[in-house]
Amino acid sequence: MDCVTTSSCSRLTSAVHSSLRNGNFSTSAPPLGLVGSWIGHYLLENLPRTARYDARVPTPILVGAEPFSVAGGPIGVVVLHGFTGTPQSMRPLATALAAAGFSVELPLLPGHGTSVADMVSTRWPDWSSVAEAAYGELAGRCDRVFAAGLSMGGTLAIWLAERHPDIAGIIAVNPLVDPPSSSFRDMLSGMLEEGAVSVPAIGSDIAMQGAPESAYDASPIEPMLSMFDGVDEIAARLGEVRCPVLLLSSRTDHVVPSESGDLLAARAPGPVERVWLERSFHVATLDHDAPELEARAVAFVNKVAVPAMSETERLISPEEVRHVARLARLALDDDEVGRYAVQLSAILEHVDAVRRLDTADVPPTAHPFPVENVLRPDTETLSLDRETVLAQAPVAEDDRFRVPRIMGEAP
Amino acid sequence: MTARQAPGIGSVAGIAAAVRSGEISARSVLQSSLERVADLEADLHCFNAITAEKAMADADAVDRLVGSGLDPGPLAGVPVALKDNLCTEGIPTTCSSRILAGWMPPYDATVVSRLRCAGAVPVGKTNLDEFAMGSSNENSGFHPVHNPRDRSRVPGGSSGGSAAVIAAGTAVASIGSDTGGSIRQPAAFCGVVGLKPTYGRVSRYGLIAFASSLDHVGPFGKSVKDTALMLQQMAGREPLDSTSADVPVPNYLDQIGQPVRGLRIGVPEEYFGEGLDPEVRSAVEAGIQELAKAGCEIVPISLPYSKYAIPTYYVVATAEASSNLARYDGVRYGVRAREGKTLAEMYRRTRDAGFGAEVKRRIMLGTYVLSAGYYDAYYLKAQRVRRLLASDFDRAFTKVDAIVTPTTPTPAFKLGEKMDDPLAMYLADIFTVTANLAGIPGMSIPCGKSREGLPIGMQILGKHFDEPMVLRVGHAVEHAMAG
Repeated sequence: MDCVTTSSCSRLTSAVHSSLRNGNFSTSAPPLGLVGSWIGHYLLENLPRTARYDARVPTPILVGAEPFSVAGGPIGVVVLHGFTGTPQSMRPLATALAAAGFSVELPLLPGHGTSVADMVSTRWPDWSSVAEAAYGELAGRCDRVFAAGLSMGGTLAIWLAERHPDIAGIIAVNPLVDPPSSSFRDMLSGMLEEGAVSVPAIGSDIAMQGAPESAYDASPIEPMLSMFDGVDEIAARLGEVRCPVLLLSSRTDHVVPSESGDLLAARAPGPVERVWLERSFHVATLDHDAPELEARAVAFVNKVAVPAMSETERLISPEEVRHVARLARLALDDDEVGRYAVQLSAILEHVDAVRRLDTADVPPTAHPFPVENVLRPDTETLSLDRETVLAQAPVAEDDRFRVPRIMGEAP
Repeated sequence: MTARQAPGIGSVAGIAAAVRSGEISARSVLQSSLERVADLEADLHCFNAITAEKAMADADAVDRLVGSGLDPGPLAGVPVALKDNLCTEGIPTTCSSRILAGWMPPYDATVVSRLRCAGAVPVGKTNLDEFAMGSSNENSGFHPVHNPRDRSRVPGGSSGGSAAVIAAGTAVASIGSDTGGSIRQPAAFCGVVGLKPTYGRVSRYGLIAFASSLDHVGPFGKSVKDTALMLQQMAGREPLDSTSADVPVPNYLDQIGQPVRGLRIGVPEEYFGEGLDPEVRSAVEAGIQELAKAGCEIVPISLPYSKYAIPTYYVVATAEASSNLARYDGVRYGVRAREGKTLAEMYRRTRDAGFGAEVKRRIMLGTYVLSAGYYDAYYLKAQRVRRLLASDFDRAFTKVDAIVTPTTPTPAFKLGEKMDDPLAMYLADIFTVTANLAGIPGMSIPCGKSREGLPIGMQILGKHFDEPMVLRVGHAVEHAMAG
């Protein structure tokens, strides 16, 4: 696997880092915030601390914020970072996907990874067009393409899924899906009119100590409002997300409330597999659950891509597989669920020929050779010896089969 | 008769006659069989259990009868192998599944007791795909069986062990079960004769159920005649199996060797289409040519619903399997998982640990097609299509006396070749499932070899209960190909 950290990605994000990639930047500042909190209390408490930025010469890229690109196999994954974040937050996931043999594009979104001043003039169309270009790049050389993203990166992944019905699947980590209230947006607009450019951002929302996120410490207001427009757009079209979705939700998230994930899970018509991350905050890609998150993402891509590449329509979703397993009293692990969804779909597709046959006038067969009312004389005969039978039981007691308790159990 | 007479140890009729006359002892026949087992078993894995001690006792009992001037029966001293999904009292019966590990049935299957009454000596339980679900024997919960003709290849399935013991000469005859081709397909892959009788012809009491409307018990042998002699002892009505037919059992040797001149042999175009290996095609066509030379009238026929056979089969079979396999719950027999705190949890854990992947796949598929909202679309629909498939044969048998086809689309494939693609594996049964759906008899006989030396099988199908015709035609091909 060869890394081409500069060449292919420079095309994608040339506006941002064409001449900047070798600059140095001190990270002596405290762990920096992520997306400005449009939710409420934090922002309101800090309202007076606004700042102004002037347009000025571009600043060098933050350390670790460089884009990442790996030319891997025929399955590609676009990986997208969040608002005011950088590829640094997504690098472990991107690396895990690359290590699994997938092609990966992790672009640096315009205005990100240098200084807030560079971001002030950028908007949702700038970021989404870079996501689109990365998708196109992978679609050009891969059979199947997935999109993965954190926070606004998740929003962008959904946006890609809505635009590209043939996308293989998306992985959304704490995505922003639920549009913020108009009162909140009005408040931000009001601040803008009063001359404010940005609001403070929440510090690295990571439960794990000593795992800083490389991001701006402030959220520029105009780009933020533009992002909300993008959220409006994707939220209105969630019914078009027909691909399989892996939704990774942190149990505790101080930046994006869990309602966003709920909305995606409820509205997306395709199969949504939701996994709760119990020990992580918003930036789950850098938190305690990162290893699990990476493993889930790799497994998801593997299981979804396999039938897609054999062009088998998925007739049975993983949810249905779980339902059937419950009926059949089988305990299946996630791997088995994924595998059976693929294999049973392929078999049922073959069976579909039978379903299409017109058999309105054909009576069903229950027996290959007609036999009716087989009776025998009602005479007493020897039956099996009780002790012999019980001797074969896993657990027997007092002439009976012993079983675990049956009261109070789940069905 | 010597111990190492290659490739096996004589014919059913030859051994029985020699033992009955006292010319050789049942014990010496058994010993040569067991010696051959000892030589080959480590490489082939045909057996789940070799019951040498019990077999010795049985053989000695046969010899004692002969010594006392009594007749031990028409299969006197014939070493037979039993598929390990037939209940054998006091001998572990596993279906090659972990979930039944160590289980000792409290009774013998009817075919087992009938064979023993006829003087046959069971030598062991043969390996199979778990619960008879598979076409390669690779789904055995223990070891895959290797094909004695080419050990890098599968013996077919699910009765792979029962077919392989005949090819290896470790038993003279054997019993298998056939739900979608599980006798005929391995017979073809191993180059032996395998017969699936008419539904209801042989009692299934003591056969561990897979798909009750499709399950059949039948014999394997080296020759058509050996197979007929086995069937003779197995066939007939029996009250313990309510589906066993109350139809008289003819003498199955009567028509063997009868001229076939004037018989009408149907050749269905659907069985010679796309996907048929060219070598299989030319071998089977050569067999048909022999029948023509012997005076048969070759009649091209059509069985137009054949293409629906595999999907229909896999709906019906898995639906019935999901119901039949519900009984493996860790309560009455077999293995129970330890951790389950509640009954439902114990069920799930037991079944998860006890069943292999293919069995779970079929239980899942069967549960799905029977579940609310899908029953009409899949199961009921398949049962209707099944009637269409059966009526294909009804129409054909107004014009012909027997139908010949290839048994399988290809010769034996390599171990591991199809394990990742269940659908490709299912298609290995494409020519055999129709006889199960229609309940008609079918037999596979060796019919030439591929350039690589792999056996090729011809399938002969007949009307319900017309095993005599199937055997007669089969013997004619066997005779012509040998000559």
